[in-house]
Amino acid sequence: MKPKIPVVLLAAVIISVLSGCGRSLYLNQLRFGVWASEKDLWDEAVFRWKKAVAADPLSVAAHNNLAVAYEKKGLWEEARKEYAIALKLAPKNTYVKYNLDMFQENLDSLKKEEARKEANAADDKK
Amino acid sequence: MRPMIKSKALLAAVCILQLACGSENARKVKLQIPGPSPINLADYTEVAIINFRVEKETPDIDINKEVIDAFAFELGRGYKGSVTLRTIAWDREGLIEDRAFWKGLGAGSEKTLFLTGGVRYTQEVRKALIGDDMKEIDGPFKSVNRGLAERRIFNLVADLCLIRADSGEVVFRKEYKETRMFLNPNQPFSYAFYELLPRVKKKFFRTILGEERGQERYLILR
Repeated sequence: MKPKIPVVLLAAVIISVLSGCGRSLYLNQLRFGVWASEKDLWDEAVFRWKKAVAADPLSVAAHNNLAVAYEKKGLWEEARKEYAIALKLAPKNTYVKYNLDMFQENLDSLKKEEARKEANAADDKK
Repeated sequence: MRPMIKSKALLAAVCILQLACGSENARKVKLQIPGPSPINLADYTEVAIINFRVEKETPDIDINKEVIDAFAFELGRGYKGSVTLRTIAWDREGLIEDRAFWKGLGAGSEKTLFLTGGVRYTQEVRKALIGDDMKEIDGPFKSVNRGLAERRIFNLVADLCLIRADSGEVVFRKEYKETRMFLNPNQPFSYAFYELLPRVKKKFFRTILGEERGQERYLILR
């Protein structure tokens, strides 16, 4: 009867592994996207993370990463939408919150800079 | 005992796999993220630089050529489409607003954008009363200490436009004005131009291409 405990434990771990790493399609796409982003292949990363979203529409990681890729490509509206979805799925996720805060801060500073330049230009004309 | 050893080995392997899968949640990445741009150059396959309307020709510099060269070079670096050069006759006022003219020049090409505008490079001499605490403006050598000083001021004004070839619509227009002052009254006319032009160019392309800024973001790995 002794082997029963390890077998039960083994079964539990296998189930855990299958549920954690077993979503192979989704994870492959997610990781492929990360790999592509590291190689500065952002179009490929977008393609992969879109597939990851299609495989698991509730994936915070896929939406977050897709938003980062959109930011990299200067597609602000798309990035904003993806961050919003990611945050809705995981309101307490610190990574998503950090990214979104930085995204908004970046956009705000750029807008302020543009406004300041416009004001300077108007002053010059006067 | 053998099945027991086998199951233990399998258990260990699975645990290692589990640990490997769960070792890292997110990765911090450094990105160069572009700033917002009023126009998406990627929508166009060609940017045609049209000769600029130079308000005052100068003997020692071909301003039009210098500006075109500078802009063509910069576009070649940051733009993936083709960059071509075209020449028109600036024979009347209000040509920039003349949609029909640009539409005709573009022959309905949807994917072409014209870059053109006017350039004015001028100098003026201003006289100013100066004191002992005169700051160094153009170098460490003070030419005069007191009294009435001449200051040579160079202005480069570039009215730059981006025009759609298919509709003749001006999609971007902005006047850039750069000034440089020298104490040396004999400063050559061309000298400041080569300092002012890169400033205009930098500001224009920062706006158009959306200058990249270093940012940090997290990619989530699971």
